[in-house]
Amino acid sequence: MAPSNQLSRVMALLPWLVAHPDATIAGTATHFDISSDQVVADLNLLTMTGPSWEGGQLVDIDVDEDGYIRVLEAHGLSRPLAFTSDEATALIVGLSMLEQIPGSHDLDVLTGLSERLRQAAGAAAQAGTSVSVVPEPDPEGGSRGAAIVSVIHEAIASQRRIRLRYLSGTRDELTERDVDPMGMFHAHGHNYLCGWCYRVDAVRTFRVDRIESAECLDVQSNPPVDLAPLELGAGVLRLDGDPVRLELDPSASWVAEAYPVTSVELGPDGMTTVVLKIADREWAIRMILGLGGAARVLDPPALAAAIATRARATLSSYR
Amino acid sequence: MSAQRTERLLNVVQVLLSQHQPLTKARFHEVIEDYRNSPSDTAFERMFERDKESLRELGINIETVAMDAWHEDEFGYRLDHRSARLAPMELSTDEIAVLNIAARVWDQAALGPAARTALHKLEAIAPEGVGERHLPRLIELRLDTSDHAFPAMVRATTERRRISFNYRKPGQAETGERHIEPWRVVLRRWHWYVIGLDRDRDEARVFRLSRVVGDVVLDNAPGSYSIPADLDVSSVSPDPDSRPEQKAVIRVRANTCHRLRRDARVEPRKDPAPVGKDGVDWDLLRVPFRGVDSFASVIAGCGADAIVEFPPELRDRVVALLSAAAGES
Repeated sequence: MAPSNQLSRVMALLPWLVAHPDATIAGTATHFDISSDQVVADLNLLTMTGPSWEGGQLVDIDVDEDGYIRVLEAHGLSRPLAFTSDEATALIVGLSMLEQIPGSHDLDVLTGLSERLRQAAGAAAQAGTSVSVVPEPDPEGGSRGAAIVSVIHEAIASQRRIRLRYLSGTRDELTERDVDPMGMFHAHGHNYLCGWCYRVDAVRTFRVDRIESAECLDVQSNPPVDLAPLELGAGVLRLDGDPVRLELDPSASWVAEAYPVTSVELGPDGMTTVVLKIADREWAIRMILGLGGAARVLDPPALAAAIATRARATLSSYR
Repeated sequence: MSAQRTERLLNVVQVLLSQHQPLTKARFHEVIEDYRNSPSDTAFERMFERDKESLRELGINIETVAMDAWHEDEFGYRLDHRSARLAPMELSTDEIAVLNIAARVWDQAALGPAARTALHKLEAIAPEGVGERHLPRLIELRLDTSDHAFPAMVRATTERRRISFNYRKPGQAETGERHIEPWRVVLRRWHWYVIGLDRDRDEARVFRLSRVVGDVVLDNAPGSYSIPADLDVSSVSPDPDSRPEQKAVIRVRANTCHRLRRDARVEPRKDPAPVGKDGVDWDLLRVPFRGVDSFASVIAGCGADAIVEFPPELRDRVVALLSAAAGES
C-alpha cells in the first residue's frame, strides 16, 4: 500500500513550521505546493489528533487573523523524521545526475554533499547504492559548447544581455538574437538556455549546441517576465504543430521511442502506427524524408504529398 | 488512504515519539480510539499489523522488544529515537541551492513527492543555510516522465527481491513476461535501465524501464539472491563509435545547410562561382561522417539543398532513400 502523501507531508510540515516561525498560511501553501485550504486541513489534522492521553493533545498550533502560524507545542514531532529510502534516493541520485551535466561545474559544492547526505540518511541511503549513473562519454558540444556555457553563466551572474548567433532546430535558419538569459537546464541529453528573446519579444529556449556564437553585451539584462525555476524548460518543445500519423517499417520502429508520440499501435504485419507530436511542419518533412520510405505519412495527406514532391525534386538533381 | 486512517497513523506516531519506554499492544489498544473501537481482538491485531507496515514504508521502523527480563513473553513496541529522526546537518546556502535543483530533477518523475518531502525535512533542520552565497553555476535538470517502474525497481534491487514484469521490445506487438533478479538500476544517456539476471535465459540482461508495461511484481522473499561483486555498469554503455571516419563532398546551396557547414570545410569558391541550373550559388563542402546509412538520412532530409558528389556509395544510398520517399520503389 502506498504511504499517504498527506501523512508524510503533515509530519514534515510541523518541523518546518517550527523552524520557520514567520510562516503564513498563504506562504506555506505556496511552499508546499498545496492550497491554503489544504494547509488549514493539515493543521487541523495535526492539532485535532492526539491519543486519549493523560495530558491531552500533544500538538498545539495557533493561527492569528493575519494568517501567521505559530506552533506552541510540538513535542515529539518538532524534529523531522529520518529520510525514507525513496527520499534518500531522490536526493542522492539527483545529485549524481547533476554531476553528469556538462558545464555544471561547481563540482566542489556537489562533492562531499552527497557523502554527508548518505551519512545523514543512514540505512535509507542503502537504496541509493542500487542506482548508478553511467558517466556521459563525451559531453556534447565539446570545447565550443563549454565556452558558450561559460559566456551564459557569466551573463547570468552579471545580469547582462547576450547576443547569440543561433541555428534553428526545426528550420535551416541562422539568426542573430539579443537575449536576456533567465536560466539554463538540461533535458534529453542537451543543455538549453531559456531567456527573453528580443527578436520575437517572447520567452524562447535555445539548445546550447546550436548556438554558433555568444557574446556578453554591455547592457543590463531586464527580462519583462519572471519564471519560476520549474517553468524553465516548460516550453522546450512546443509541440503545437498538426500531429502526424505515420506508419513505420520495423526498421524505423525506433522513431516511436525517439520522438514524442501520443499513440503507438503495432499491427500483425510488424508495422507500427504512431501519432507524432511535432513543433514544426518543416522539421517533420526533413525527418520523414530522411527515413526514406520506411515511414509513410497516413495523415495529413498534404504532408505526404509535400514529402513526395520534395523527394522527386531532389532526385532530378541526381539525374 | 482514508482520512480516518491517516489520523490514526499520526496518533500512533505521536504516541511512539513521545515515549522512550516500549509500549505494549494493550496500551496501544487503550490509547488509540480506532483500536479501542475495533469489533474484535483479531480485527485490532490485523489493523495494528497493517499500520506498522504502512509506517515502515514511511521510514518509521517500529522495533519489537521484550518488556523486561522477567516477562520474556510480553512484548513492547518502540522507536529507536536516534535513527527515527533526521540527523542534524549543517548546510551552506549554496548546498541548499544545489539540493533544491537535485530535488526538482524529479518534478515530473516518479520520485517527485518524495523529493519534495526530503527537501522540507532538510529545510526544517537547516532553515537558513550558513555562509556566503557565491552563486553556483548550476544547470537545472529535467527528466523524462516515462519511469513509472523506477521506484519498484530500486526497492526490489535494494531488498534483493526477484521481480516479474511485462516487457515490450520496440516494433513488437506482444509483451513478454520476464523474471529477473535485479542487480542495479542504471541511468545511461538520460534513460533508465535495469541490469539483472534473466532467470528464464540464465544470463545477465539489460532492460529499458520505459519498455516495462504495467506493474513490476515483487517476490515476497527479500535477500533471495546475491549480486555479482564484479558487476560493471559500464558494460551498459554502448561502445564508442568505432566506424571509421570518412569524408564526403557535398554540394550545398548558398545560405542553406547550416548544420552541415558547422563540421565542414568549405572549399574556396572558384572564380566565377559555380552556378546551378536554377541560377543559385552553390558551395562545395568537405564533411566528415561515420556510417553511410545515418549520414545518408541527414543528407536526404536536406532535400534539394544538398547533393552528394562523393563517395558513390553515399550518393547511391541517398538516391535510394529519396526514391522510396517519392514512392518510386
